[in-house]
Amino acid sequence: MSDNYQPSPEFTELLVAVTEGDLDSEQQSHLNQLICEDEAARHYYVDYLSLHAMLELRHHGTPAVDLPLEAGTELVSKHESNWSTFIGFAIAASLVIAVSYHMYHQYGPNRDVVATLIDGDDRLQWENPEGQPTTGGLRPGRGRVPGGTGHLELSGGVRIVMLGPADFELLSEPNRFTFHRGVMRAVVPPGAEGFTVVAGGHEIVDLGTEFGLSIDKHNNVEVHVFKGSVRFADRVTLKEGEGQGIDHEGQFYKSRLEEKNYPRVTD
Amino acid sequence: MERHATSSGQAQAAQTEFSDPVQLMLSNQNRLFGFVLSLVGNREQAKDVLQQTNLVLWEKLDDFEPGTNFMAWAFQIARFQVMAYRQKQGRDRHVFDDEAVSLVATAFEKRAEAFDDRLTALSDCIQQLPDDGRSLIKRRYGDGWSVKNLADDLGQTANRLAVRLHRLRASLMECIQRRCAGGEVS
Repeated sequence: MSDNYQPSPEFTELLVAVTEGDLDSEQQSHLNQLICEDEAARHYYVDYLSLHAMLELRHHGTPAVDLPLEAGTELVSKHESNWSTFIGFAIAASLVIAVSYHMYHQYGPNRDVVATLIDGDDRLQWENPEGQPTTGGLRPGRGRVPGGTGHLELSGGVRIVMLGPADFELLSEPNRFTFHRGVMRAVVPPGAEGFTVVAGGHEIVDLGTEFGLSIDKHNNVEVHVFKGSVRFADRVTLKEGEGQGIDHEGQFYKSRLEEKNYPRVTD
Repeated sequence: MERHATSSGQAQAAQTEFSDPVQLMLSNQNRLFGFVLSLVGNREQAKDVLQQTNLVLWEKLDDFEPGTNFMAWAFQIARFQVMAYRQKQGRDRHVFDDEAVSLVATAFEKRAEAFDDRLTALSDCIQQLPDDGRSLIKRRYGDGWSVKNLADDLGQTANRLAVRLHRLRASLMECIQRRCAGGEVS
């Protein structure tokens, strides 16, 4: 631990900016220099960010261990030549138990309602169904729309309609949503500007708008703006009628607006 | 990458308790999350990198040699995934360059064994905060409010609230340090 070290006001400002995600390029450069040149500052930084991580873990639980089914199948068969089938089953069973444990801690029943379902209730599948109330709203958790459409309204008033197959995550933050796979449209009402979708590690930040978003299995993300504008991946601002994609290697490409490809939000 | 010849404390307990790599992978998720978050700064990005790290660990489990230091092996893979993620994100999204990533990663690894003890101590330390401090931490982390939105809601400036949160974090760090140094963590 960083015994008796007191960060300077300047360093404190950098630490706060990191934890709030507000670090600008000048601050990034300054922090980088401090970390490289000042060992005590580096150790304090690690302790500070470790605490930040622990606070996230305490309030949100361990992030879900999300392994594709195909990989699980491969693992068991891959190990069968070396291990007994029994051990293979034991691993599979312990994995289910452990993953369930993580799911419970992330999406346990104490989480608050963050959205309501407009329609598609017969189509939504939840990774942890026990974490979802039977009536009255939706809690944070990871879900799928296997087919058709699923239509949600977040507590901040943002409406989202997803076209299955789609994979998403409701978060405890009132103005954020994670979209892992599929096609969706978001309609953001006045007052909810700043609504952010995280897709493929990129942030799509609403600036007062209606937009469509798709992400494929290769993590290629496309955004099309129907009304207003959005900030995409913290690098480009898209206006009405514009579309942009970013591939899995971080390269931008132009994408033509095809509004018919996106589901419509119905009243 | 620096490898530790021996492990002790929680890390050793985890390694002793779980001899198969799948269980080791699952039992070390908190440390891996802390490791990645210290390198990327942002929770959502850390979750993405951790997910990618888990997929690589999963694919390479056959390569892990039982009896060797699982955490050192997993951190090495996580560090590589952080670097790959930074390349994918583009230069303007970097918090650190390669040298700083390496230094922070090494510093974190040296502390990783105590991570679970400190996480346990955190629960007690939060209870020792004044009510308004505890409430602020819950709203910031549990409810996911940004400092700006919290400041608007409380009628304070964002700067003032950020300083208040920083002091709470510093107080928690001191409390955790005291408890762990004094052996108060069971």
